Amino acid sequence: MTPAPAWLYYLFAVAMLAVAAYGLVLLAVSVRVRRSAGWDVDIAHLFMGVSMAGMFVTGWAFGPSAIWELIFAVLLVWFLVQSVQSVIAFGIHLTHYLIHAAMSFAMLLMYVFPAGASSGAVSMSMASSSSSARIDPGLSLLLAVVFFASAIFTLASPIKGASHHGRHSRAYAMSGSAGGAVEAPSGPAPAAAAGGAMGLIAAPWLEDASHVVMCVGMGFMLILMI
Amino acid sequence: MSVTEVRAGAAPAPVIDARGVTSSPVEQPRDVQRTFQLVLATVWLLDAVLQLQPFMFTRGSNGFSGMLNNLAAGNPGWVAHSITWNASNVYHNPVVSNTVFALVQFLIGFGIVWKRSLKPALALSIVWSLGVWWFGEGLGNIAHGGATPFGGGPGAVLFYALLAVLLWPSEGSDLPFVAARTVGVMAAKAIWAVVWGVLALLAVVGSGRSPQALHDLVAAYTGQPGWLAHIDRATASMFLHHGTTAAILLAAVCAVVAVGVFLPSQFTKVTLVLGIVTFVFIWVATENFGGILAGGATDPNSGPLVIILTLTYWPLTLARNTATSRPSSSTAESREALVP
Repeated sequence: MTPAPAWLYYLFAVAMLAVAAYGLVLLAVSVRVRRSAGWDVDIAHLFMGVSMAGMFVTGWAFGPSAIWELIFAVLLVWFLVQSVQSVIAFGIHLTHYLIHAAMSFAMLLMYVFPAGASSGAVSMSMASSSSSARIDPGLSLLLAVVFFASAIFTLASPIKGASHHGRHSRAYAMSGSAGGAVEAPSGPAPAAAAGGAMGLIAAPWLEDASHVVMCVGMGFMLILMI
Repeated sequence: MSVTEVRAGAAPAPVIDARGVTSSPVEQPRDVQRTFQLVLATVWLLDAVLQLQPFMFTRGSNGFSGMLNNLAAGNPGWVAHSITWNASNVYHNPVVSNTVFALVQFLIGFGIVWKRSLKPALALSIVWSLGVWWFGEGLGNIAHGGATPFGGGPGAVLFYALLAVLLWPSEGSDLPFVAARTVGVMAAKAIWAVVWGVLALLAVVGSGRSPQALHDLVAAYTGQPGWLAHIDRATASMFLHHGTTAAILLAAVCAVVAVGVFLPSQFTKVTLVLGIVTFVFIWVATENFGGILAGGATDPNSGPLVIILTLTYWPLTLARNTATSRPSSSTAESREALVP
């Protein structure tokens, strides 16, 4: 029997590392220009990218699972709290923090129920037959569909950068996304508005692209875990 | 409030108030056709990722080529030959062929997202769907009378093509329902009647009304999670004892739904809900989510597609008119839309 192509998993692993690296760069930019919005998403992408790469290619995994579980549990709580605060501040709406909470939840599940994921995607077919606890396939499918929908609707949204900063953030609106009439900035200039290389790095469409790649990669991993 | 023009764009400009809350200067209803296009794109993206599962790249009876080869049985000789020919090509080049299949589906999914590539992507999806219906679904088992809607008949992939036609981009209003925006009200209603009429027919012809065949359809599922296996056992038992009744009931429901769009709006909604509830049941209890939860599926089967199709016929009372960029109500404009 022909084995599943390893290059596919390396491809996804490299893409995940690229998202992680981009998250790190965005963090540096945020510190440099004192941008207050989006850094939590950058941190989440950094951790998710590194840990997902280790799931796709076993040899690239590092660190004890307990640490990763702790990290994603903290991120989950953080994004849930942010979601509640956003609803309190702006009324009932679909805040972007929820998708990041769902992604943190999915990561946590992958570590708590490691059958399939932590043993590396290359050996996924073997892992799926193991008797250890697995994520309920229905939950995996549900989360995967949510991530795919997030990827598609993020790409199609006329408001760029919302996957990182939401639709209510003043800093996001200032970073030159959908454009139009907006209130004059009163705080520090965001990176994108600063122009040059830093503006290119923190371009809202690039932030959205990193979110899309993460959504597709995580959705694929969840499908593999079924 | 101090307002500065930052950049002019085609989209309505968001305004940030003193609290930092964005709002559109003129609240507009959502472009519902666009939303449905994106939902369709999401399903294509799911299909593309399902195509990347490890077994898809493998040879043998448990691989993708084996799955394709099994679909030839029961079809007329020349159809069966074309299916086995395709399966043979996949067998000899499993990695290349499956990679191409996945890429095409990624192309369709992401192509629908960008408005410039929307039409080519939808056109490609129609061609691809018809090809998959032939080579990948064995004509939906129609040729040997096994195309019951309980099992996804007449072929889940046909609904992708149908949705691509109904959601073909066009300027105008989503009133009185989204499916009518491009093809017109009468054509959309005619398509609806034909689709549900065919579903009603397929429910009671061939093995569609055979209790044993319906039982075997559900009993054949293996590897499902416990809760779904429990539902399967109950459904299989029900089919074994009341299979013919269930088939006739399904045909009756499909017939009622078929005429539902010709009734006044409030009755239409009732029949649409009936259609949605029926296909939610079918998707869960008899299609088993397309077999995805057992780890051996290439698509979610017909359930979600029929539900999406049904929602595109939901009567709307307020919708954006993309031709005028103004909201339109169901009163004057819908009357105009109904008049040829």
